[in-house]
Amino acid sequence: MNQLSHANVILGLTEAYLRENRNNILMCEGIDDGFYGTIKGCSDKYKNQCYELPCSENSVVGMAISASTYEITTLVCFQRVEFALLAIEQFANNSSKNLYLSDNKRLNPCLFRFVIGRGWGQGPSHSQSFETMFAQIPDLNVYMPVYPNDSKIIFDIYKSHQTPTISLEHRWIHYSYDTNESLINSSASSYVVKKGKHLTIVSYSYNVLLASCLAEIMRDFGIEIEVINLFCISEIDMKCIYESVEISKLLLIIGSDQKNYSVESQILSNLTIERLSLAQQIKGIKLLTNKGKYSPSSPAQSQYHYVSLTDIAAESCEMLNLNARLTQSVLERAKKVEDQKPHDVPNQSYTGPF
Amino acid sequence: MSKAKEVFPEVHLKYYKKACEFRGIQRAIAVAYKNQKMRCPVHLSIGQEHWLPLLGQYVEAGDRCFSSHRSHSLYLALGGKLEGLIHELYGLKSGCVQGKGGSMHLKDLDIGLESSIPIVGSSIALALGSSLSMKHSGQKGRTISYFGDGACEEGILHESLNIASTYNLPILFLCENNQYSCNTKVNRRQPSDDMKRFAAAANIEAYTINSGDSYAEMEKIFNTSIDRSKIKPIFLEIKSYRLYEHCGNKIDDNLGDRTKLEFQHFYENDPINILIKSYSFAKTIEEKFFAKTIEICNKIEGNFL
Repeated sequence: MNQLSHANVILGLTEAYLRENRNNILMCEGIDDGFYGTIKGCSDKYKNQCYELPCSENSVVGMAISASTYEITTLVCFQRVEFALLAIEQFANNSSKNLYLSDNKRLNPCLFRFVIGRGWGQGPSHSQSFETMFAQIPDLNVYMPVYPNDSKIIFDIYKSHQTPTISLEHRWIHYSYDTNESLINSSASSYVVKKGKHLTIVSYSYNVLLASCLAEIMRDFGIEIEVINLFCISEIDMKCIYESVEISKLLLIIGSDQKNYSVESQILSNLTIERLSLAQQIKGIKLLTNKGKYSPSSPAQSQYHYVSLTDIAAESCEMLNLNARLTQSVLERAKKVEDQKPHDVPNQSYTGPF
Repeated sequence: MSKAKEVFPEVHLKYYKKACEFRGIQRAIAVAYKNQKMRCPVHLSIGQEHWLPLLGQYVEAGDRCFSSHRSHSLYLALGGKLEGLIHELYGLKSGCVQGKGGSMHLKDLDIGLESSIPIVGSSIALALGSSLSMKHSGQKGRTISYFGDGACEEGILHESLNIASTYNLPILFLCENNQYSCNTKVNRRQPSDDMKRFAAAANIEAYTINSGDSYAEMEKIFNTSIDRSKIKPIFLEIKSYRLYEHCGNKIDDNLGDRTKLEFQHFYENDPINILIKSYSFAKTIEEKFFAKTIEICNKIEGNFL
């Protein structure tokens, strides 16, 4: 099994990308700082292929999507996804429209890596994810990796797309490691992270790690939870979900952003439109997402904002109709795991600031 | 010597002819537009044609141009086929954008017109990408970003000028200052009507062509601008005047957005109007292309019936 952390795997993928072709370029604001270790040393090693970016997101995105139409390929990193909102004009107007207007003669495969923040005072401006906003733009490919192998697939698949790809990376998944299940996956669509028959949890990004943790706790109580990593947001692979729900008849969907016009809503819409009879057989459906509109900066307040392991445990116990004693035992186990570190850091060694 | 003869010496006959072609074609579009069969917003550049034949003269195979929405004359100057333009305005699959783009999205990859985008300033960043790609890969060619004075009010222009200057990208920022953005005159939108000041803020070398400049003067400036833009960013401001309304086929001096006096001044000093008045060959060419365009329109409209 690959023992490299997710951040180190991305670093390796970036180096391979730069090594592969001198016309593959990397662009990042603060490029010498290493972008959370994921491009560390690249600007020294591949100096001629690395471009420091001015604070000019809209122009940078337009430049990158256009340059990839021609002789070079671009990989662009933004420290937080909120900065990409300054470039929504270029994404909406130009990322894929040129392919349409050129009768498929102008392809522009390229990769954008945008980071989603959490904890350590990231506050309301550094903790949103906006996956559905990007996914609404036709032909813009949106992925949210969890495990290192997910990023390997993204670095591979973006080249075969005709249009740009966005990888929305939760800051805390940079510390993830591959599992047997994540390594087996070789496609850019949804896959089962934990097998189970009693409850289906569909999630993406960091929340997959929480759902997987709960599945392991529940296993000790003889309850099998199936956890699905949605992975691709722009084209939701419903087959994987249908197969799981046909057995479990219970569906919990955990989102990362707002509930309105969300990935969760899209899944339910697909389910009822495409498989109404299956939807009617389901005994319980629940949606879980962040509780507030925005994440407060203060640690004391933010602990109540995000979906937590105990939140998922509580919802799951209720859906599974577990008795009070069993529920209490599951919640105690979940709380014990949560208490192993402060709620606002990904691990004990994290010291901020971003 | 008359003013017309000063402005239009015969040594530049090829330019006169082209400019008159563009006028005749656009005037015909304005006439045919009344029939309601061109079902797209049409943005004419009548009044702005005089300098465009020069662009056609200097652009070479492999060069890439990125335009705003007002690109009929640019398309023609680069060598775009008349039928491709007219068919596009009628929304036909035989149009230069397969009927998907209409007047605002003219494109012809064979002539180097990579994009025309109606979101003000939006195509400037795409031009930047083309230039970066050429420079990084060592690909020969030039990138030309064509936009108007309205785009100078957008953040994307300032971002792009800053990047082009910082990266020293080979690109020509070709700003046509026709004095109006939609129906609003530049003095109600900006504290100055000099667009070169934006280039100066980014340490970019800049030049100006004025509406009344002779082709000899324009050639000199074009030659310098195009030549230098092979190795670094250059900003070229073209001062012109849009005689027709922002979008549509009418002269709009009755709307109050501009005074009749102002319109009359620019109408009388319009280089193409002067040319047509002064030379019978100019009138003949203008009328010939007007008739040719009307014939294409009639044929298409006949098929609709």
